[in-house]
Amino acid sequence: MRAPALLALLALSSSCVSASWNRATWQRPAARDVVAGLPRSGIGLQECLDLLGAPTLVFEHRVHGLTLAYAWVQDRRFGGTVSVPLGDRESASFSYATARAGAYALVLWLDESWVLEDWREGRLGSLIGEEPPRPATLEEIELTRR
Amino acid sequence: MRMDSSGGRRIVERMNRASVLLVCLLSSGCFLQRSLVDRPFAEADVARIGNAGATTAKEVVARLGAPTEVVQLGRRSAYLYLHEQEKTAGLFLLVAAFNNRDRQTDRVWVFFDEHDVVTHVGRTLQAQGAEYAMPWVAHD
Repeated sequence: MRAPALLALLALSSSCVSASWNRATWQRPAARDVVAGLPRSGIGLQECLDLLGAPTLVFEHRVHGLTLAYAWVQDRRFGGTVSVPLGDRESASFSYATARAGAYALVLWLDESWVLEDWREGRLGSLIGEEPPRPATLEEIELTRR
Repeated sequence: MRMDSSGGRRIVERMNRASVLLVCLLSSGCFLQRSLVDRPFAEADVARIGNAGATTAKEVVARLGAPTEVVQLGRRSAYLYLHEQEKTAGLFLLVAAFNNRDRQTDRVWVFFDEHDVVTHVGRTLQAQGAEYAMPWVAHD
């Protein structure tokens, strides 16, 4: 009886077997019915804000226009590790991890009069790039003066 | 004092149970953690921003304080006021660890024209909706 109990205790001790389940959520996606009712173009900034609330990111679109991003993150990770001592100085271990991670967003583009031009939903990185674009320089602003 | 064999076995069994219980107690744990960034917003704070077309950026800053972020939009600009609440719950059961983190924000964006006068205001007050949960529970 002692040997199986000892083996079970070894197997159950976290240095031999461990598992983890992690979830991280940041913001909530816009309500589906609101997105379904969002016009493809033509409404002003205040109407967009009234429908969707405050965006998570705001930056320039073609200098005088606007990009509004309503981003959210739903990150799920499962993992497990098995480690087996093989001798005094050796051990073998096996780890497995799976993750469903990523930032998603509803992104709206507004023209220089701050009227909706278009919107799309998907992975944040593919919609706006990995980093938001840098602000326009003074020269760029003057060159494209409204 | 003499002890028969069945009495001895019972004592060993009780000791085994006690040791398992002790291992469980020593190996398991849970925690709840909450972190906040800045103070929460209320509808009254949004009302204090004032009317579009009448309130200046200087007045907004006097009423709400320094913004979290200032964004240049060509010759115009926008200020972000942010409050963040994060709730984390963790559970450790011998070999398994469960962790859930939920971060929600109150956001108020104030947009200004090229003369620093308020043109638009957008708000989302969700920070109070952050939840303690286990990872298998989906947030609404």
